[in-house]
Amino acid sequence: MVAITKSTLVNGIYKNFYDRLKSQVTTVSLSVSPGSQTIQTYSSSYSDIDFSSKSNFPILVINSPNIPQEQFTFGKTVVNGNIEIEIYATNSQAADKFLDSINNAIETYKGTFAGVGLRMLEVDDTDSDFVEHGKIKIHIRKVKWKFLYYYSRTKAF
Amino acid sequence: MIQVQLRGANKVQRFIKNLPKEINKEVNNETGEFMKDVKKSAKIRAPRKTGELAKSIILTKKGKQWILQVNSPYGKYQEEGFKPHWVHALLPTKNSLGTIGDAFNVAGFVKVSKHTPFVKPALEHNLSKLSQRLSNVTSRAIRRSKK
Repeated sequence: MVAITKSTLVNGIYKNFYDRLKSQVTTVSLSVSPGSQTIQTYSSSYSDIDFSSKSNFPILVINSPNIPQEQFTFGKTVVNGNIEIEIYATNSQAADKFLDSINNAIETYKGTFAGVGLRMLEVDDTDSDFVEHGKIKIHIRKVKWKFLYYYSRTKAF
Repeated sequence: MIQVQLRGANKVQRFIKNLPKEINKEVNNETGEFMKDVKKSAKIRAPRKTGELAKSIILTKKGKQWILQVNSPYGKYQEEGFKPHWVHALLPTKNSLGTIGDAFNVAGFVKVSKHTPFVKPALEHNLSKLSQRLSNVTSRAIRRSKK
């Protein structure tokens, strides 16, 4: 896990989620052909996705976190943030299983996230979609995790 | 003697004063998020050969208005359809790719017959969740107005 400070807020939060998912979400077994699927690319943006070949999938996209903030107390600011994670797979069962795997990876490591200051981790929203690019059918699953992060604010009068 | 005390009137006053401001702020933020999701969804759905069409989808903000634009000259035809026809490879694409032949690596005449709408499906997909999103931001605005 990477320490998060107010000067490395976005990058720190992103890195913690990225490292966790990269180590925990790798392969899922399927009851249909091809038997299992392994993540081919871990990306930070959907714009990196190459739709030209089926072999590029599954792709796990961990988007940059949103970090809206407000004053919590006189000396503290609370970040009411969220991070959206997406899985692009050519098989619906694989997409569902990867979504479960993503949620499980975050859920079971809530304590570790709390250790770096990311608290109250909860699923905020989920979504599923389906698109076709020529002969490639892509199943998309999205999950948005929300979290709280507190830091000492700089006081200025 | 009967004494009536009304407590919390100042809190109610503050709540009523803050509510329209908070709702306005939250709805504006959510509109932006909604439009970003539509843009993303349209980009994912846009048919790709060279990627030029997906790249040309942009989102801009003018005041409180969000505008989703498809700047590619053939975006309209992919969205709304066209009659099947033949095009010559030497015709210009009207973008940085040069001619149709250069862009698609073809020579002579090419038959174009299939179109793939991408903006309307993206909008439809996201509209289905809009009421839920607005309900969430309204609750958030009410909660914040109480502070």
